[in-house]
Amino acid sequence: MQSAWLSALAFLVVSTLLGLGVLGAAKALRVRARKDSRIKHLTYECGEQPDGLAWMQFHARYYVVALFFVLFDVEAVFLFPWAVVLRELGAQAFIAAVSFVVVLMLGWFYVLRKEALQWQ
Amino acid sequence: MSALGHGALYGAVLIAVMLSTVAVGIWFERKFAGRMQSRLGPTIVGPMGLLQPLADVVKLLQKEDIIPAGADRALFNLAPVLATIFSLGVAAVLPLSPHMIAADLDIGVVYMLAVGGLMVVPTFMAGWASNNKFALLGGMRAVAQSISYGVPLVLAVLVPVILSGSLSLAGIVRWQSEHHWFALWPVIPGLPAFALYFMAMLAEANRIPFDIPEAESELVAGVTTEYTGAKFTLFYLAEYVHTLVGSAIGAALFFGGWDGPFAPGLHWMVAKTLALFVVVYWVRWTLLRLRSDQLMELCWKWLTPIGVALVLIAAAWVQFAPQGAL
Amino acid sequence: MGHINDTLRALWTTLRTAFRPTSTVQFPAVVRPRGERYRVSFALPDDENGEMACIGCLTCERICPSQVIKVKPGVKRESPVTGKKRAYTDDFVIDLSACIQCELCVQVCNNDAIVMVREAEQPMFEREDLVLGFARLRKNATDRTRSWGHGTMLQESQEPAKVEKKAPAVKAAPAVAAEPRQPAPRSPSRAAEPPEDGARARAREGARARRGGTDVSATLAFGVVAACALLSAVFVVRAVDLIRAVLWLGITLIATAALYAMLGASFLAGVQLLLYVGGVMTLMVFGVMITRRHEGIAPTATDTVRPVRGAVVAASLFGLVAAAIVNTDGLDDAPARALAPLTLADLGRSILVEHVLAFEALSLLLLAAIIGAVVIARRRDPGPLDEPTEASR
Ligand code: SF4
Ligand code: SF4
Repeated sequence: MQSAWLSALAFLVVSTLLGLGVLGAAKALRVRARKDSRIKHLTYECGEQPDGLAWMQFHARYYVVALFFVLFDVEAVFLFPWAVVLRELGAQAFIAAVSFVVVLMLGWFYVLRKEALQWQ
Repeated sequence: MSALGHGALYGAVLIAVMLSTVAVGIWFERKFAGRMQSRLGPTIVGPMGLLQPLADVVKLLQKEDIIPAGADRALFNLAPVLATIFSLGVAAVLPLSPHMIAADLDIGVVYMLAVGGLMVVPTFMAGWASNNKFALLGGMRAVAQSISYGVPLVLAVLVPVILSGSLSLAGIVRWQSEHHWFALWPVIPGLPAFALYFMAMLAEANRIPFDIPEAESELVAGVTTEYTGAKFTLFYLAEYVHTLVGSAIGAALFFGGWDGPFAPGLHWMVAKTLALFVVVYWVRWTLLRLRSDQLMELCWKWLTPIGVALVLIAAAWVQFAPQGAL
Repeated sequence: MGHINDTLRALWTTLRTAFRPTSTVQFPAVVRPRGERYRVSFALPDDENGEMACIGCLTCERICPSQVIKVKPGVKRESPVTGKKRAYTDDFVIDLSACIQCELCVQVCNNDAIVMVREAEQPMFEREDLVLGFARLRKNATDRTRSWGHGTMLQESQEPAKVEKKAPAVKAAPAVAAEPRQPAPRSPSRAAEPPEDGARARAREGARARRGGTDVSATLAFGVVAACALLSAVFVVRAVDLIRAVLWLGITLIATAALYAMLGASFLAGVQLLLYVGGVMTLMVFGVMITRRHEGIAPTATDTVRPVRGAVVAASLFGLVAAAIVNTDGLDDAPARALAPLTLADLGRSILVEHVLAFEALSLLLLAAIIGAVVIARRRDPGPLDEPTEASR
């Protein structure tokens, strides 16, 4: 098993080399500007002078979305080992997982009723 | 051959193949999009404009490299490289034919979901490091969208996992070649699960109709607003590779991967992948962009419960279907 | 259902269009003939007697919406051709740069004395060059092809009852043949070249025997990964910038996933990446992004000045984990156990048979977490008017 992980690691290393290679190639190829100017480095704000920092405050619903993602993913992650043994264990595993999912879907229903994921 | 050498060799070859496919794919997309809009598409560079992607790459690599004032330089430079790594890295577990797979992980499906899910990191990083309001807003939207659609994605992928009882992509394909393609049989969790997977994949790759994170008409170019030259190229590449690998995984999970008559397995896998890839373009040049709230409503109100229902149906099928029907 | 139907119809429409001939042609190679009614510039033609037809009546000058026509009427005199008395024009100027090509001037002229032509003027460098003078307008009458319309014909076509008129002298532009369509170039999607020789490229299980920490390279790998985890953890604490701290934490989490993978716990490694790096990190980033801060000040860790409290918490956590590890049974024969690693099926069996109660309890826990999240979300969201810094729509 570890050997497969090593292969995956090598694969990732090759992808990294590609990314760095493209940057390197660009470094060799690219045209250099004869003179630099402050204006060139201004961030793009539709031609206006950039106003303040870009780091603004975001709405709390972003956080809620991330929270629900984690919760539902935890659910899904527990279903993976279940999926593998489902055939072997039969009805008992099926009922256990169905009740697991149904309880969670109660939560989903509650979210829907309270409109916590409304993105107006 | 050692495991490392195996991975590196496969990585080099597969990545080279994917890059050339992407190059041809870009040409094809522009040509196809042109025809769909009753235009010619690229015609000048090379025969039928075939060398257009090459010209584009040369042009992009020659561009000046500008880092905006006030940017977090380290993260700004790191983000495109990470995007490349994560988008290409998913392909490691892709089974091309029964014996052709870079890293045959026994949990290939989880690896694919996890590494694909990591794409949110460079996306946010780029948005945040650019010190640009459009980029940050685009980055936040992209991340929120990716993680939201991550839920239906996982649920859709669970369906073939349940039906085959395997977490390895090769194992899932093998099961399909011994029984049926999941998109065809059992058709009820199979086909809708594929549709769910396809939509979630489009959303994860920020493709139309789910491209609100880089909505050109409102956010300039989303996270890539401040990127020039090679770094922009890498993001562009990552986006295409993401779609290509997503199509390949869809082909493996739902359309039996290498399974098919007459031709060798590899040919079937490539043909199915390209067919799905073309459908992505077809959708892209046909549909409109969904609004943010429609996006979230679609995901949480519809796709998530549908996904849960499909998972339960698949489990019930495994439990109760007569043995012959498998 | 309506949406799905519309989507499918749209897809069908684009697909059909893709296999039809295109509306556009490749311009310099293929020049599409201009339409019969194409009109860009002007000419002052002769009448049937070979004299300039314009009588300087100023009708066109008055009708022109852009007021770009200047006519200077001349004196009435006898025509040298017919001998009849008629009016003449001394000068005629059209400023093409502001003309909107409305053809009204042509339409109102009763004498068919102004017409439009199908060949465009050359591009100019100065605006003044686009002012067409008398000589140029006269020259256009012989040099260029006339457009389709002329005054009497246009007037006639708009009148309700038919009025008999003499045949127009202006020769019509030759009718244009139906535009030739470009044959559609078929675009074959080329299959990618496959990587060759996969037959003997199967991953082997040879590395399994080397597990157990005796191998030098394994120890080395462990050292590198552990160092990554620890170093990035230090950076998490040291970072002043909150976002950077979270990103460093991401590296710690990835290194932990690598440790799991090295120990043969593949599934756990995948879950670590999926849930912690993909999910929890996003959660933290979003947590930082929604905090309120003063205009122009980046998010920073403000609580770096209380190391003692932090140290106490860290030390007690360490003690707790260490105690748990020491008290775990069977750690001494860990290498022996590692030779028979837990498969995912073992995990599934364990969850669904031995720990099924915990599994069900977990769903209740998740339910509680969801409800908690909803409550927090509703409290955090005071409504649109209270949030002047609200940036996301
Ligand atoms: S061109 Fe026609 S309308 Fe204009 S002044 Fe001459 S005769 Fe009159
Ligand atoms: S075409 Fe219209 S705008 Fe142009 S000169 Fe004639 S009346 Fe004026």
